[in-house]
Amino acid sequence: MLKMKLDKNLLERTVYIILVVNIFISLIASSLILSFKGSENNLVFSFENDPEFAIAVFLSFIIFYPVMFFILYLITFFILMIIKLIKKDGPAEI
Amino acid sequence: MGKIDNFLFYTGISILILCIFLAFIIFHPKKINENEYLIFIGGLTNEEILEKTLGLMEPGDILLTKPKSLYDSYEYNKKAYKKKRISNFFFYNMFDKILISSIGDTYWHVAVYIGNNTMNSLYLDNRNEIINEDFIQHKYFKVLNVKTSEENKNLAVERADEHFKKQDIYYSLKNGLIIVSIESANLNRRYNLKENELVCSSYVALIYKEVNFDNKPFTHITPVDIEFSDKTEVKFLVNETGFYVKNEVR
Repeated sequence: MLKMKLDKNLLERTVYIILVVNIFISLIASSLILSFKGSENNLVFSFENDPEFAIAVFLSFIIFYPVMFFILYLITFFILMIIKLIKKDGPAEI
Repeated sequence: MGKIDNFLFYTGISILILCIFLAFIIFHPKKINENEYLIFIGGLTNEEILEKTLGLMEPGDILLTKPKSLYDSYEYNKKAYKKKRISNFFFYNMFDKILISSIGDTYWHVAVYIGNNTMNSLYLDNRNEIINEDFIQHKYFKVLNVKTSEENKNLAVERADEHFKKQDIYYSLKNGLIIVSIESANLNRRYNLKENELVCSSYVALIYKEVNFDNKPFTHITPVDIEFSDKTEVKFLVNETGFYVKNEVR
């Protein structure tokens, strides 16, 4: 019973941390990717403060946020599993 | 969890659900049914396809291409441009499953044939690619004739050559995302997009400035607009089943 409760808490905390951290990760990643222009060998970073850029970041965010959430969740899940296997005496804490 | 934790948790979950919902509304997958009347030539070998392709193409023709598979595209690009496997996996999947799928699950890339077995197009840089067996081996394609004068076709080839030499047109992911969302959501909105920051299809529309592919500024033209425009007609195409030609070019 205690073990199940701990697992649930751990899961909630993991999801909660990823959800919050992912907002910043997705926004920064979207802004950075959309700020680059030019060739593969000569990428130029040009941040433009215009409405089109804001719209593109918003569009990119709605794609990135769910994708990054599932990627981060899977990575965290596997890390926790590994830690749990190493410890063998119960679920790992973040 | 405390009150603040709870608030952040439910806010995060709400943002996640909202993002999935909006992504589906804006970029939901579509399927365009092609009902062009074409004649099946047969399942030719790569050498035969190359020979026929180069024989039928004329400078000024538009090429629409897509990889035979994601892995094929990776292999093709690796040979030519030393691409990285992991970044390609993410890029190709996002590009194919979200952007291309949302505008009709058709072709990935648009180029112009400029003669001498060469096609010019805008990737991250302006490139001239040779149409050789490597290309035939890894890509499906469709060749379109532009319904315009020879003068305009020559002008388009000249412009492509000029932009290739100057490298003055930049590939813009930002503008690409905006025009794909407009196309996908079927909106009539127009944005103030820079004329030198384009994607492959708007680049082709730029060099064919005299041709109105769709009732849009050239900066907003997508591959689907060119493929299904009244100003273009299919000459021939190569796909998984074989080689198809339009009656007149046989």
